Amino acid sequence: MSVFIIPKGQRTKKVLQPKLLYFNRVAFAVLVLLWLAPWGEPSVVYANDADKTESSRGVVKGTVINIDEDSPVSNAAILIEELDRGTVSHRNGDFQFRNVPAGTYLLRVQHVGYDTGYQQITVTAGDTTFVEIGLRRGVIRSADVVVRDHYMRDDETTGVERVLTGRQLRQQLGQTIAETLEDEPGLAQRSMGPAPARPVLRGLGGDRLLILEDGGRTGDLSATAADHALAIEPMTAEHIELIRGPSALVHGSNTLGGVINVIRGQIPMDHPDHIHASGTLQGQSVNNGVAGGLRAFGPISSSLAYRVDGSVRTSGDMNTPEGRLGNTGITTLNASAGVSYIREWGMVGVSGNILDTKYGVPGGIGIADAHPNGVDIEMFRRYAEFRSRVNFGQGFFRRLDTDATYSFYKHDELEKPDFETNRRIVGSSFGVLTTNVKSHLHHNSFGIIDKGLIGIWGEHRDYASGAFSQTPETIEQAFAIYSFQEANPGNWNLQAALRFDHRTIQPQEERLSILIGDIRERSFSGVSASARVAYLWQNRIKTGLTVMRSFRAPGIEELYSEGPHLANFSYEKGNPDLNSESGFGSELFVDANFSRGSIRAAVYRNQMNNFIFPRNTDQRATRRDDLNVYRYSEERVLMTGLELSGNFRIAPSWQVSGSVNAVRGDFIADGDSYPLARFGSSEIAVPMMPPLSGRLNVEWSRNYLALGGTTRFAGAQNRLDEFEERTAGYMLFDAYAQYSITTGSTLHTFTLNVENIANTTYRNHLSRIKEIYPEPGTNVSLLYRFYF
Amino acid sequence: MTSTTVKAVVLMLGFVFAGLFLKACENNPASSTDSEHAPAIGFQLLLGDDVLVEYFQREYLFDPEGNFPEFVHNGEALLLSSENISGDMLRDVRVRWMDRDRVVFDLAEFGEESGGTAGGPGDYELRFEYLLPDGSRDVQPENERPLEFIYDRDSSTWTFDISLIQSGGSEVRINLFHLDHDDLRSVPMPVVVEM
Repeated sequence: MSVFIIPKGQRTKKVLQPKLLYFNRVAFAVLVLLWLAPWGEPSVVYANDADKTESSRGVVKGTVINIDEDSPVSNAAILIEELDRGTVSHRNGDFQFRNVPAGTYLLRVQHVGYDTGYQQITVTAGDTTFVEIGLRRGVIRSADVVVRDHYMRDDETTGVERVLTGRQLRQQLGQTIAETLEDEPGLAQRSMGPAPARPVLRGLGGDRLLILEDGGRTGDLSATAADHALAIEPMTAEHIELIRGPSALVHGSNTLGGVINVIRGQIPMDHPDHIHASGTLQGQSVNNGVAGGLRAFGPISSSLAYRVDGSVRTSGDMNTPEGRLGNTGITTLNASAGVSYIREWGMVGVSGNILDTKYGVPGGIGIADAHPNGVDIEMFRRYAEFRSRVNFGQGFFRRLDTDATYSFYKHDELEKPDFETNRRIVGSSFGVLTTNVKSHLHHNSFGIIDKGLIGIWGEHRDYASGAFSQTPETIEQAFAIYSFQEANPGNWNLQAALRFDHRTIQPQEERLSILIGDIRERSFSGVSASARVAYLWQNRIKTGLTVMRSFRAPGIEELYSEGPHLANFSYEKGNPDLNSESGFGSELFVDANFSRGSIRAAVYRNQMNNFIFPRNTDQRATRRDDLNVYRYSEERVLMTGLELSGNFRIAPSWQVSGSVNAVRGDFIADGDSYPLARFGSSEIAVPMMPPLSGRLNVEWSRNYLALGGTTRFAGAQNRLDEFEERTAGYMLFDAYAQYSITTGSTLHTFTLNVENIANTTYRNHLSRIKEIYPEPGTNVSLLYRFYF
Repeated sequence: MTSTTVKAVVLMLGFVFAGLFLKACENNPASSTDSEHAPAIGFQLLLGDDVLVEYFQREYLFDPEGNFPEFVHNGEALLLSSENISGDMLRDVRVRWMDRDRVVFDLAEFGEESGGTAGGPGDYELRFEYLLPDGSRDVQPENERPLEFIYDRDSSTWTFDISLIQSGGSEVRINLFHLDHDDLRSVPMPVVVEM
């Protein structure tokens, strides 16, 4: 028997190649593509030519007024949708856009307590266009969370439906993005205690639901495990978008679930004429939580603009109807700064962000015998972004947007000792350095095409884990090229997208593992595509069909995980032989808008080959007999579901709204063809699927005051995978009040929420610790926010 | 090529190289070589230099080299009897550890680095759990245990003794305890005692 003493620091046996080599090749290819791109001659040249600038651009000046009172409306958000440019009205209701290319645009104006206003404008070169926009008091809630795909008036894929002052975001603002979005149709939240919650859309979570920050990758590991938190502080979000359909392919190849884009606007894209600021204070009773934040943007000089924000959040353990859920506190510090240089030809900007979070993952007998006190997680991310926009005017190409981000991410999972005096041991440690570069070349209309873009994207990830985790250090490199096009002939809306992806995953140590198999470099390539056809009937009812083929390469953890993941209470075993995942999704939708409300219905069907997921084997681990082995498996899966939502104004001040969501996931045996849909019971089902759920809301509002009550409900989840626990149905009652008042040029808003009024015990089926701990009990929260 | 296009390309170049610069500036903050934990996946129990029991991948091999056939009960349990142990005490059973590649190593270096002494356990120690021999994994009452593992963590050696108490069966976990947790928590080892 041979005996070796393995010196520490000498266990990495084989470094394959310099990390930057491949990335340099990708970068070079990107540059060559750009140089070879058919730039053509932009019809307008701006640089260093003031006369030509004057002759090609105009100014928009306007006033927002209250039609009923003939008074100015300050702090209204005005957006030129086609240009993705926004501003805010001043105290006297005035606003201004400079350097607007000649053309016809749609202005959208939103303000709390008013119906959203739209106004078409025509900008003449070298002239000033004056516009007066009247708003009327309304009771329909202005939406911060916007499902973009069903709106005919969308801009191209990078455009946003922006809301700067939104009631819904304030009302739903939670500790996490998942909590904030929980009440949206089709959305649920995966959780493991409150901090690491992550949204799940139509039953698809992880990296099948891409979550972006200002359109860029977050650089965190929230998609890979239930205990990993999302590195976005919701308090600093200006608004949140949901993107589905062909436009989602611009952001990723695996977007059957969709894309959630959290807009923070860290790099100013427009030059504000004076300083704008907002501040937030929030407190809640369920965990003695307090949070506060400040945000400001303004001019530095005639060409420079800045934006800064900062926030602090601290909360203790969460109360549930069955007692306090230990080790669920959160402390977060977040700070950002961005600056832009904005000229007639476009802009260039840079920003930086630091996010430092400490949170707990609860333990307890029954879920984590190995860690009855839970695990503390310390997460740190440093994020830098560079962004530019170059306008080409009215020629074939409209503009070029380029974005580069760099993320330094680290998190440690610390074993919580029995006694506070004991030293905490790092159970698992993860580090990811991510560099992303993407460039979108937008074009103007040609032929029947109204607008579109060609894009390229490259990513380099340096992944490492330590402590108990045995996942090898790995370099992951990806490249994609894609195009999105949209046409609107008559009442039709046609969208199409095509994307090619290549990904190489390269462990720095190749070896034959006794535990998981042959750890080696893997490469994956695939094509994804999507198309949508929609028709608008009598300007009220829109019907359509969306189809999508998706492609997904396995992740590093799915391929190479090898060891205990303590905070996830699992022993994870990867599978180096996994294949790429491909899916085919389809959706039929109807969207009807009437004078007193709207109804939206969608049925969808997603089938996936080689659907990869960590499956509980119910076997104990070789190293830790107190942890279950989760083995990454691939199966054929069919998910079908429906969403129904609507709102209806039953009286001038009364509105009723609600939604119902249902989704089911079935395994399809090898050799069987995918059915159109499955009904009835089955022996096993896809794990961690949300049950039937919905909400019903009644709201009274007048002027600056809104009062409402909401019922949230969910059915029992009896469709389970092997070794998965059933959850019972529940019904909860919430109430809220919102009030806003303007003093001088400052808008003050107050939001009072009372959630789970009856202190009902309920369990989230998507919680990893549902067997032991229920969800939060009664929670009273108060949010104050000001804008000027 | 227009000046606008030149600007666009210059910006692209700048971003690509800014990203490369940032990427090249930093090393990954995590590393598989920085673990505080022992990389023990399995272990061997040795008498002298010969392997009495080997544990790896949740499986026990009793007398894998054929040196101690008298210590094997039906091929599935460690047999300790008055006949093969003099004085009802099996002395100086030594532990060595195996990593994920089944390579055997000593744990001394980890003990040194975490404050222990060379050759000794440092922050590490052996711990034993006695479970009922019925597969239930319930703790075996002290008065029903047929044997006892005697281990002195201050002895600076990875050895222990086994004292026979009464006839019967037990299942014993042999754990590598590290400060406040198990770095290795074994599947229970079946043991039969005949007196």
